[in-house]
Amino acid sequence: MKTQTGFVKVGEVSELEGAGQFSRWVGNHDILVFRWKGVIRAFSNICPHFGGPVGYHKLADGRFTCLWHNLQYDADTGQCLSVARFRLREYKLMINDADIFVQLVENQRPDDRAIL
Amino acid sequence: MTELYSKFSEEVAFPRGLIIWNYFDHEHVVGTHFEHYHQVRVLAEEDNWCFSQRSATLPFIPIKMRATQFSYLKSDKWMRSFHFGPFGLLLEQNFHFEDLDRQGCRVTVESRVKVPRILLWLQPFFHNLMRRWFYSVWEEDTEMRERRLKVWQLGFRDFVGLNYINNKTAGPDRPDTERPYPIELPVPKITEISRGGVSRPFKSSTKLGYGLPELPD
Repeated sequence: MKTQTGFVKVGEVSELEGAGQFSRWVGNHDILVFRWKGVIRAFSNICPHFGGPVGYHKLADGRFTCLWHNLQYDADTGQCLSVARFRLREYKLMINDADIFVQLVENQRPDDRAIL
Repeated sequence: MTELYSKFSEEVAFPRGLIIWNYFDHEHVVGTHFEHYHQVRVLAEEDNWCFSQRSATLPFIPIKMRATQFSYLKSDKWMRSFHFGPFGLLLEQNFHFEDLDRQGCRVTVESRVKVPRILLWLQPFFHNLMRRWFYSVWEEDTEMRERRLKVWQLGFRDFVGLNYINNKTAGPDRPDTERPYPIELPVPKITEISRGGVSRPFKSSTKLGYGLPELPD
C-alpha cells in the first residue's frame, strides 16, 4: 500500500507487541521498525559493513547488534558504535490508524542527493 | 598411526565467489554462528591465507575447545584448512568448489585426522561429528548467503551499503541477477578481530530472525 506522499506500508503497530521491533523487506528496502523510549522509529536493517541484518537480535541496552559480525548500533541515532564511519539511515515514518508507513524515496533527482 | 576420514558434498544455488567469501569471513563465526563459537582472533593474514585462534563448543562434546586454524586458498576452487587442537590433534580439511552453472556451486569437504591405530573405532563417531558440525553451521550460512546474494544483486558495496538507501533516492526496479560475483576475500578486517580478537557481545539473546514475510501488494 502506497500513499500519495510516497509513504509505503511496512507493517502494523500490533506487530511491535512482544519484542518491540520487527524487520521486513518492502520493495528493495529492508526496514527495521522499533519502539524506543515510547516512540516508533524505522532504521535501515542493512548493515553497511557486509549487508547483515541489524535487527536479528532483540534490542538490548539501547543497542542493536548485527547478526553477522556483531557490529553494534545506537538506537537513539543509528550511529555504529563499532566502526565510526557507519550509520544507519532513519526513514521518515507515519502512523495512520494501526498501520505504519515509511518514506522510501525522499530525493527525486540525483542532484538532490544527501550523502551520508 | 591411522587416519579418521570424512567426506561429503552439497550443491548450492550461490556463485562460487560468494561461497569462498563466506568460508574466508572469519569474523562471522562469533556472529552468525554465535551459538557455537565463543571467541575468534586473527593472528595474521594476507591476501589468500589466514591464521586464527578460535574457541567453540562442538556437537556431542559439550565443552569449550580452543584451536588455532590456518586456512589458505590454494586456487580459486580449492581451500585448505588446518586445525591444531588439544592433545596434539591436527585436523586437515580440503574444501573443493566446483561451478555447476553461472549461479551454482558444489562444495565438497574432506576431513582427516591422524590418530593411533587403537583409536580406529572412533571412525563412525568422527564422521558423524564432522557431518553434524557441517550441517549445523551450513543452515546458518545458507540464510547468510541468501541475504548476501540479495543485497549484492541490489548493488551492495562493502563498507558503503546500498547507494539508493544512503542517498534516499529511488532504487532499482528489480535485482540485477546478472551482476558478477567476484572471488574477493574479506581482507583486511576492520573490526577488533585482528587485534585483541572478538567475542560474542552478549551472554544471551532473543533471536527475532531475518524478518517478517513481505506484505502482499
